[in-house]
Amino acid sequence: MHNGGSEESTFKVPGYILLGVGCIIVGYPFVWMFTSSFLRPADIMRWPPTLIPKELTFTNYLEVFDYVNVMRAFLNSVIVSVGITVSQLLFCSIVGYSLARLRYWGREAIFYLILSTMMIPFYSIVIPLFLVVKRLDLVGTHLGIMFPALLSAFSIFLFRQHFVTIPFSLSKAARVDGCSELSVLFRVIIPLSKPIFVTVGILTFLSSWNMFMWPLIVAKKMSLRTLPIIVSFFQMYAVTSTASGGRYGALMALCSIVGIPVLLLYAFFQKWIIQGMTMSGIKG
Amino acid sequence: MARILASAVRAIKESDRIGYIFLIPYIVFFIVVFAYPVCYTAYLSFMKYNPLRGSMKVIGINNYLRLFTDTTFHTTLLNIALYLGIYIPATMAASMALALLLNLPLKGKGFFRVVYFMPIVIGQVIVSLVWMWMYSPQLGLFNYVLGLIGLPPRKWLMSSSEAMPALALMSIWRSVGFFSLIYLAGLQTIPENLYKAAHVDGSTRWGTFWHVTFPLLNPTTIVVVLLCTIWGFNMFIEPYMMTGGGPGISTLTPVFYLYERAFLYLEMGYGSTIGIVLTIILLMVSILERKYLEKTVVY
Repeated sequence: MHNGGSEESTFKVPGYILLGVGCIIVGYPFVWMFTSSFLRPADIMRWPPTLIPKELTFTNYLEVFDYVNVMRAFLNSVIVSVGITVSQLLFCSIVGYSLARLRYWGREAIFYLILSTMMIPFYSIVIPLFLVVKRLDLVGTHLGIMFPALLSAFSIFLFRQHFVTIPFSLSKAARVDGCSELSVLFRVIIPLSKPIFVTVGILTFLSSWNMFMWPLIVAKKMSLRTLPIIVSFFQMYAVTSTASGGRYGALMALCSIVGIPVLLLYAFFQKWIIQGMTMSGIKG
Repeated sequence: MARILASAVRAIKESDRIGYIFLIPYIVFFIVVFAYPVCYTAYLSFMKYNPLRGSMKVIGINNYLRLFTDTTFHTTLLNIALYLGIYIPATMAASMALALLLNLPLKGKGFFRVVYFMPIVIGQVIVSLVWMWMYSPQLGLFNYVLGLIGLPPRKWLMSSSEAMPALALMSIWRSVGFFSLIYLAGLQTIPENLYKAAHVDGSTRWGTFWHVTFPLLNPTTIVVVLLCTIWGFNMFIEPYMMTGGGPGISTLTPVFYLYERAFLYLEMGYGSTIGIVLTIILLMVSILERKYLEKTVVY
């Protein structure tokens, strides 16, 4: 622990061994997913399991592309995730700005109201939400899938927490120079807040990319399904297909297609992602 | 109407106005996505409503009466209780241990942190499928590893007694990295001199952990337990993807049951009743846990 000096070295070897074993336990399933996606169907069915493929094949990927419209689903996922992210960055930053830096009656009450909506479980409002979206005739549109995520209390919270830390003298000076409130936000505050925009943007994008229950309910049309949804449909086909044990190779290929963009994003933005997500736990 | 609105706007102090204007996006969102749906759920819970048939019928508290005698619903509650009973303590212990490990002065911790955090970033749908295959009794990695260390193979998701613990094991694997970082943040708030004082007093490492670290981590533990409860209670994707609620209904979770009732059987009224009762149960469980955890720790 914190005891200094010579004792550190006694912890070094067992410490690294434990951390290394942990790494294998956590990381191996992903390696297994990826290597299995290149296995020939015959190798998939072999016992003991083939840990390192001797012969790589792309037949699993071809099967996936034959059976489901991956490109369409990928495009849907991108449209929905980018749409939600842009909407949240724009609206949540404005609302967060209002809560952090403008003075008016009832501001604190509204802030707590927004925080309290985080306590409402999604499933408890999913039925009326579906009926609302149906009434607005948004079932069967991308906007319908984005609908409940266009703003989020957590993003507003993150923006607000960041904006209160910027010195108030800066916005005062801009106002004296004749800037309107909107241009104070866009010319003074936003340029100073790039990290928070990256954090909120990347967290929002990831959670939209992984959204499942809502698109499952709203995206009835084949042409609207996002990646996680086609994974669940493909799974039904793969597991019930004639080959005993199912088409796990193809399933793992599809999982790799869906998971690898996320892993790449994670590799680039890990600092922001880890910081932002742990913040949700610490502040929550 | 427009005139009333205009005079209302004029009544707001000039300096206040811009703040309210900036709130408009959220106010609209709040009404459409929270306020109206919350009220509407409450309303629907007293109705019999099938959107395909289009008719809505008031049936009073019949949905609630039905829920209290619905044995499937009771089983889903028992299922999730079993799951939480494994998931919460194991996640707590494992992530606290990992946090202590990550708090050691070792080089390259950043790398380990990035790896441990990975599963929570990857979507649950993918994690579920990879694990489903690892659990395969005939071809899976788990039975292979059990064989290597000389243990008999298990049926995992194919057995009604093992399926729920197997889902819990997966969730523990998925969330330990995340919660260990929350514990790590908690560890860093404990003042260094407390450890020094304990050391001077001749406290053993184990004693220091039990009497200094563990009680001082209590606020973090409360956060961890509450988050685990909320996540676990809302579990839907895992059984939906991996077991379909089976074998039998041994992995049917309350939220899965709600989904099934409302969106497969189109019993939107009854589904709303389930939603309301679940929200109340979750709220009560969280409050009790918080009370209990706040009381148990004596500094």
